[in-house]
Amino acid sequence: MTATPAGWQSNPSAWSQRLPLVALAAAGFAIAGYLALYQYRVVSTVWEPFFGQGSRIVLNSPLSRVLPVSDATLGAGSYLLDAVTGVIGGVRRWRSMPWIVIVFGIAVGPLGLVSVLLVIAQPVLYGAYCALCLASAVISLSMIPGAMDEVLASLQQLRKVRRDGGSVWLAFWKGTPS
Amino acid sequence: MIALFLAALVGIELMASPALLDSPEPVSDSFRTAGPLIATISFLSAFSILRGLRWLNLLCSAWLVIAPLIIQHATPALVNSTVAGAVVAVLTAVAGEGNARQRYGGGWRSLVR
Repeated sequence: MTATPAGWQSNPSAWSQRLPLVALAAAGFAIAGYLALYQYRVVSTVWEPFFGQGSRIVLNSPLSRVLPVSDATLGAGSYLLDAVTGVIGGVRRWRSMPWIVIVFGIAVGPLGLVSVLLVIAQPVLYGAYCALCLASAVISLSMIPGAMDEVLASLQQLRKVRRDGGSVWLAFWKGTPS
Repeated sequence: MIALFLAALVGIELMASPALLDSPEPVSDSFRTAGPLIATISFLSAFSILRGLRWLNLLCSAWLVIAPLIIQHATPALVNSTVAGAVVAVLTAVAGEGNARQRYGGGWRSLVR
């Protein structure tokens, strides 16, 4: 049986779709990790090619310390979650493991949009941009379209299970046999 | 798709415009908020799977057109705000629905049918 969902032109869980997202998540993890190391002064300076003092202002702002850990640390954790949930499961995971697809979708989608909100908040509150923070936001955004098609395939599958009178709960956690 | 990538570029122009036009607050806040929102919405909706999100651009467009009536803009900032708002609205309107329903088994709409 083909791994491509009925009515679809390609399989959203194929490795050719997922591995680029995992690579982006790894790049995002590297950038956010570096910014976090600066915030905790493991490295004493931060690379900023365009905006002068911008990165320093943004990365040391009160907003970046609202939570118990710095915002870049949260970002790094979120990219790590993206990468891990991106590699778990085979090419049929949209139907065999909907739960991991949904966790992946939440990690990439809503958590990715948080990084965009930070990009909005930084210049409005502090009048400064931070080049690597912008790069991180671009990476977060680039991952969203590629992850959402897989979420749609899983939701369509769960809806089909429900229409056929099956248990959505079981299908969500255990998958649907082919 | 190309129309929405162009709209995203308008968003990036708005992000840079307070520096280019030397706009004071709160005009700069208006550009620095509408800019990344338009860039984000336009980029995401350029992909057919998320094309439905494009209409959110119209809220930002409407704001950019009426903002000069609410907060005082210098002439270059007024032109920038109004033209950018209008251009984004036009690009959003001409973008079309895309082929998500054919490519993705009925698309998001299939979930509520």
